[in-house]
Amino acid sequence: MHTLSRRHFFLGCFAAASSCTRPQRNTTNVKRAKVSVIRAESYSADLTDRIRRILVEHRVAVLGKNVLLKPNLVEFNPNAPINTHPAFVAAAAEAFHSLGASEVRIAEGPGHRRMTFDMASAAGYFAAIPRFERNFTDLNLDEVHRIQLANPFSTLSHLYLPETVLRCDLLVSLAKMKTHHWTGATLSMKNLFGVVPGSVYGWPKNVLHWAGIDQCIADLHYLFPRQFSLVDGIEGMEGNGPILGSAKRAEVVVAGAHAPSVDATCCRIMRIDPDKIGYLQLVTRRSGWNSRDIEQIGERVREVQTRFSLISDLEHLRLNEA
Amino acid sequence: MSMAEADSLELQLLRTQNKDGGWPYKNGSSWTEPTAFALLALQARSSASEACAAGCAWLNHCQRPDGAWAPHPSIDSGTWVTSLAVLALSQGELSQAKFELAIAWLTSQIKDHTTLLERIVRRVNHIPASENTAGGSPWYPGTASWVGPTALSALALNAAASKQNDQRLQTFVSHAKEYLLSRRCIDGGWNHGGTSYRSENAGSYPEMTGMALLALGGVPDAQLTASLDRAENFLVGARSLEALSWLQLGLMRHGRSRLDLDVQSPAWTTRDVALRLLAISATSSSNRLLAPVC
Repeated sequence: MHTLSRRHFFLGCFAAASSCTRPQRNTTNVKRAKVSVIRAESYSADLTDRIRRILVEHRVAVLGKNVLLKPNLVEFNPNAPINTHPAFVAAAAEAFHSLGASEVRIAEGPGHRRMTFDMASAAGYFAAIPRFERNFTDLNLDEVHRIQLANPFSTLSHLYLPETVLRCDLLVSLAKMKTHHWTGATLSMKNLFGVVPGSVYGWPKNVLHWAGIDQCIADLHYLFPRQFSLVDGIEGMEGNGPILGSAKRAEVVVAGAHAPSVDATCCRIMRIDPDKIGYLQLVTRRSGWNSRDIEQIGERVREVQTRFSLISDLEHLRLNEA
Repeated sequence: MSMAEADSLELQLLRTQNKDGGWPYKNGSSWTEPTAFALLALQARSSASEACAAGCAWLNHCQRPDGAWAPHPSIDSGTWVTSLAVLALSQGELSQAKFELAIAWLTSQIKDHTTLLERIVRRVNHIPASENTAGGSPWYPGTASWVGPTALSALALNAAASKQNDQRLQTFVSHAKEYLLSRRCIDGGWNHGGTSYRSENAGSYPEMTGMALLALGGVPDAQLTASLDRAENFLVGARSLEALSWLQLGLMRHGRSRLDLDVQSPAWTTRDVALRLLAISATSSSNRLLAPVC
């Protein structure tokens, strides 16, 4: 069992509670959030170095911190671009270690399949990530604590959340760039569905659907103010994502401390209109955040834009080509 | 598969039992699901009576006033794990009054019709009316029905119906089976049981296919040919102990013994260990997952 110090637990609960009771602003500077767009042609590129440079550029406080990497691990199939690529996860872990993190854990709570370790093995995580078993937590089976949602968008009043997530100093969403057949796009914010424990809510975590998918995505965002996002857009998924779509290469890594800004940038790269994505609209409504007010670093969006196909029902989300 | 393997798995279960009598998922505090699975596995072996008694006492103590079990004592709602607790305590380990309360809670979770809210959600999401929701059970109260909790609820209610010779419970089991049959994937197996809308070609999962077949005891094999074949095919590429165990149990229920197969995958959790032991003990008359179909 992971020991949760009283300090960590209360800090976690305080952060969660305070982010809900002060819903008008997130703690990151939303006026002009920095978002990096870095080219990466393949998973054999030197991803560790690129991610390290991103973290330095964003002045992410890593030294001595307990960092939790949350990849998107959904299915067994290692050949379909469903999961965050193991090389990407390995590179992120190495980058955080090299910058002096005191602990770098990897954790995920898959939404459909219950055999998380077997899935991680089939997805190549054991082979790519040193000491994976020792450094991985199945969030579906972790110890949990009840967290009150003071001013939620969804119909939920509270959530049980895993201790490993609550006690970390920095939660890093290692999302995959994919279309999503309900929400339009699944990126760093939607990736946090995986922190909600299946042991309590089931497989799938249907409670989140009934309480409003977009609303729960926004609620989870505000629960974790100490976040950083790194989106694996090297090979993403288009069409009927997040599972049944087709591979689509965008050859980018998109990163930043303000998840809505990162996701809005990813949407533009995919030629999806971020202002039409429900959960981003909720962030705007609450914080006044403007999806166009982003300080872009690295590649210009128009130079890496790659049209991700959408299912016909969601074509209205398309970014106006003009 | 050998007696030595079974002994080793049993020892593993005994070593991981917490002092309070329950079992953790991996390590840590006691949870309802691994405790119920560990008990079922030890009961199937008809051994370790002291450990079983302590486990049953822990489960007994954790029953909520409404008759349900929460996944963990610190959680404020009963859930699908109630089915597992009922199975583990179905042979007199729970008082009759508490057992009836548990069964009443389980049946209260079964949808006998589509609610107005659900009809609206389904309409908005273009979900076909042909997809049956009646007879199914949710993971968590007040949400949609899914294959896993419905299969486990059918197994628990079957055990209760056998014990009480209750026609009403048998009807619930029949409806659960109809729900499961309506949720088959096009390949004959089962996945988590989501709507086919925008997922028409979704494939099945080995573990859910095995679990559904186990719950569909009594359904003529002629109705399940494609499903049984899918399960046999899954066995060839099974990558996890949990998948292999559910498949073997499901096939055993339909007279297809495939207990000779094994996979080179570690037992990651208490659930893995217990399920493996339950599959190895598939021919045991005290295996409650394979109790006679009423």
